[in-house]
Amino acid sequence: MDRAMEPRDRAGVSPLSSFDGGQTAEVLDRSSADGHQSLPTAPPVTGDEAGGSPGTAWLTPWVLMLPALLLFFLLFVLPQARLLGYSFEPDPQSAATGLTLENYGRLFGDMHYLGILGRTLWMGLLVTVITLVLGYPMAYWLARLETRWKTVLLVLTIFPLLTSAVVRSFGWMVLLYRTGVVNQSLQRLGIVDAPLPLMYTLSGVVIALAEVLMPFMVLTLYGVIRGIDRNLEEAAMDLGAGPLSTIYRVTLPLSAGGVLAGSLLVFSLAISSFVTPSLVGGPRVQLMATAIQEQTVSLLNWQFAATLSAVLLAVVLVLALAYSRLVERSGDRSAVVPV
Amino acid sequence: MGSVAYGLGEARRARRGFLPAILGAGASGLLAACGQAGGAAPTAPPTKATDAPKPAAGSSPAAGPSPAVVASPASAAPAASPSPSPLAAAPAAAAKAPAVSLKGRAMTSSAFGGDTQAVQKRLVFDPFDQATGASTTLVTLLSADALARARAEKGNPQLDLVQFSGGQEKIAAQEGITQALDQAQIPNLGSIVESFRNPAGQWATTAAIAEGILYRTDKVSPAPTSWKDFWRPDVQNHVAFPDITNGYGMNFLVMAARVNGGGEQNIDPGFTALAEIAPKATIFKAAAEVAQLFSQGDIWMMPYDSSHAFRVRSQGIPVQFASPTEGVPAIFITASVLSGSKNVDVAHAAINYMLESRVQAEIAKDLRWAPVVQGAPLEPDVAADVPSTPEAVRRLLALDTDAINAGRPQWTERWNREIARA
Amino acid sequence: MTLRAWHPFRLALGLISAVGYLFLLAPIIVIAGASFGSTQFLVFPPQGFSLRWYEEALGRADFWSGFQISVLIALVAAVLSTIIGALAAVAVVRHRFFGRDLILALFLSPLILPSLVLAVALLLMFSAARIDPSPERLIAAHLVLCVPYVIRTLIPVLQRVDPSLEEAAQNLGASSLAAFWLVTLPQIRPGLVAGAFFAFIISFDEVVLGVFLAPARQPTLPIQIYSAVQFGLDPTVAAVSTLLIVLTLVLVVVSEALLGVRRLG
Repeated sequence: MDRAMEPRDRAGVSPLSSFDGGQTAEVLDRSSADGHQSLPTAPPVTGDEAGGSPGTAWLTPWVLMLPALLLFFLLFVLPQARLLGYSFEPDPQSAATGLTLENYGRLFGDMHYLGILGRTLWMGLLVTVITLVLGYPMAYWLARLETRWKTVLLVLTIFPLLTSAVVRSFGWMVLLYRTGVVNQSLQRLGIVDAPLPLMYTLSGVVIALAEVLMPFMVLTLYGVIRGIDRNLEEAAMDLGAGPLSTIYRVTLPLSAGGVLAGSLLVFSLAISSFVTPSLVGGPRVQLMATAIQEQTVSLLNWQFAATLSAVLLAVVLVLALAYSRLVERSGDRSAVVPV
Repeated sequence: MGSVAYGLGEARRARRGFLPAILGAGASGLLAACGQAGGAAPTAPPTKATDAPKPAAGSSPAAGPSPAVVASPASAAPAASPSPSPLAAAPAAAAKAPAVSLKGRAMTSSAFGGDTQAVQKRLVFDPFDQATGASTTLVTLLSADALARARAEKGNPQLDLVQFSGGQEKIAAQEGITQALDQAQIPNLGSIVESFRNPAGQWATTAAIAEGILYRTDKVSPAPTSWKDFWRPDVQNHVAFPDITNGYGMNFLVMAARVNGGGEQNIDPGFTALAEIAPKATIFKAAAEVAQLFSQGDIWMMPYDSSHAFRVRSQGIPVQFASPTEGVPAIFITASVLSGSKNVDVAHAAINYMLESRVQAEIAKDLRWAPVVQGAPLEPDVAADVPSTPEAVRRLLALDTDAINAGRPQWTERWNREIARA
Repeated sequence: MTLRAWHPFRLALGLISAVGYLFLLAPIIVIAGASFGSTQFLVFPPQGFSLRWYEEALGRADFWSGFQISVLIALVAAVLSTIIGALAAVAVVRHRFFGRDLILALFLSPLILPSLVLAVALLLMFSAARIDPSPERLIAAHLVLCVPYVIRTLIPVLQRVDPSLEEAAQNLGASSLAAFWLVTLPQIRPGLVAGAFFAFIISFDEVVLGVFLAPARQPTLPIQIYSAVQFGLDPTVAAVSTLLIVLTLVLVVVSEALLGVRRLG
């Protein structure tokens, strides 16, 4: 039976004028948590018809997911399973046959590859934090903006996605070179004496990736923040909470789901992108995606490439799950879906 | 567009049984609609088998509305009857073209993109299509990508002809991805300079490129003459070299070994030498960065080829090519035919066409790729840029690609740890 | 928020947003600038002024045909993935079922792997199954990348929708489908639009799957661009990129002016 139909926060329907901002959030939390307990068997909204009868209601989600599951089984699980099989085959240069774990041993027994994995995760984290810190205020600003130019401003945020990755990376190269625009401006303004190493460094990659992935953060957050009832914020402020604490205590918890979705998207995309790291980072910034590319294309060692991919996927999924739980705990509890 | 119209047939063929539930008629219908809408757009004139090959105008590679990369078989294709045995059939279509008619036949080849692809299309594949009635489609795939793709498609290749520039032809032949050439179908194989020939006939070398030193004439003085000039104190901080995953970087490593007492069999000295200059050097991956690096003014010297020197110079950046005295590694552009290709005869005819001495001379003029056949007529300014005299050709070093291919995995690993360090 | 226009908070917000926009647009300004310069390579600030790159870009039949193919493929991919993704998102948000976490992880996975890995795996499978290159093959591959965006952007939006409203509609006699259509759909529109837009743009901009899976005769625009930049960024490509941006902007402004479409979401 479907027990997910707990009422979400009753933001839109219940007047909350008797609470201050902080309490509002707490109460919201509590009310949804309570809902979880008190209405465990609320009738599913979509289940009745799709399932035909309450007895088959458990089928409903599967029916809804059928197209997606079919797609992913045929075009993701099946082909990736073949590739995963490669990771248990011996190195193409050795004469050995049969199944082996030597590829995994090679990866985990070598600080070089563990370093690459660590650097990749660190890079993904930096990109996610930058896009979140810069993207949240932008999304909030856009969501609360009342002007007829709003659509244009929204479209401006997605401009980075309209230029292909190669072209955009070239743009960044011109900006980030030792003699590039950024360094020249910084030197002219007297902020730095010697040019900063930006091109062919991890910093350059982080900057360039944060830029192109920002739209995913901003638009995802925008969709969520727009859905938050403004009366809640006003109630909190009427009671004397400052704008910052209102955001921190009301808006942020209510948009935790958006933060989660945005950061998962950005993190995943950052660690899997290849063109920008290889052009802006060059050979010195070795990341999982570039290592996988190298093994696949230059060395034709699909066995090790598959191993790297499998480990990357497993590690990131575990991290994503842990992160979801964390956000879940700190945010609006019922409103966060894990991973 | 003609190409989209063509896609209808292809789309219908492919739709059979392929995820009809997911994609359904909607997608195809939409695609078909576009095909019709696009049909009104101008398409390239239908090719006629009897058209004489047009002499290629000597315009610069990038200039002018270049012919579409999308070949346009469209209108001619359905009417044409594929001749069952093209080799036996039909008199010569054009004077210098192979004596076959390939009317209505289609062929797909890889190419390297950018101006090289545009020039190859203009000077090789378009005239070839016109002379034979075939229709060639070019797909951009750098050598390594091409090998990876051909490998994944082994047995059912979507390409017929594949071009490599980094020694991948050997791996492809060893793995059975490509098939041995039928030398009888490529008479021009016989005119390839002896030392460029693959005796086993597994592939055809179609061009040679000399890797030497590119340098800014306004910054580097005296001009470099030796590979050892990369270690000169006055150029430190201004040296760039390609990554080992780029064939030019691999050759640079080998040359660094060679001028320090090592070589393909003893790569150690190369690593030791490169580790000295690497910390202050710029290491890059893509050919696309060469011009960009020189244009910034910060990079004065790098190992690359005469073809890029020509390209960068024609963009107005003062860059010259120097041939180091210790020798100049040759990069060979090769053409191979894929195992399982359904258009083996067309691919063979195309290779033969590439090896026509007139075509070789035109390619040399526009790309500064050196001809590999004897007697290609070169203009003086072209001859100055490419190894054309017998002596110059003899100075070209054919590096031991077998040893390089064998060492590649270990060398790459070592490079990533010792040279391309953060 | 009921704050004065010049409240420090609003000023700070505006300022951060301005910095954000500068950051977002920086490389694009370089590209657009270079497309008007007279040099054949990218410099900033641009040197000289020339419109020849636009002349060349507009004269390139391959770019134009690639653009048409890309728009078409992206439209199909966006529509299909929005439908597939929205259904899955509803299932995930409104139902608890066995293996839910696993399925959510599955739906995120294609974004974690480099697209080269997806491409090689798909190519191996397609080749073995004798599924030859076709636009459908490419669209199918794009769907694997696009659906996760739709699901991810819709989940938080759906979570904020109060299902009791839908229940109320049903109590008033609406069918569950009608209730969803009339009550929930309008509320999740921002998420739906964002998801569909992401799907469109991901497909429109995708190059690696294209290089490996697209039919040779119908290369998409990103493939054409990828091909064109192999030996350096020709300003013609910068001009194409700029044209795309201008086209988008014009479309938005015109539709805004004509239809008065106030909200993207």
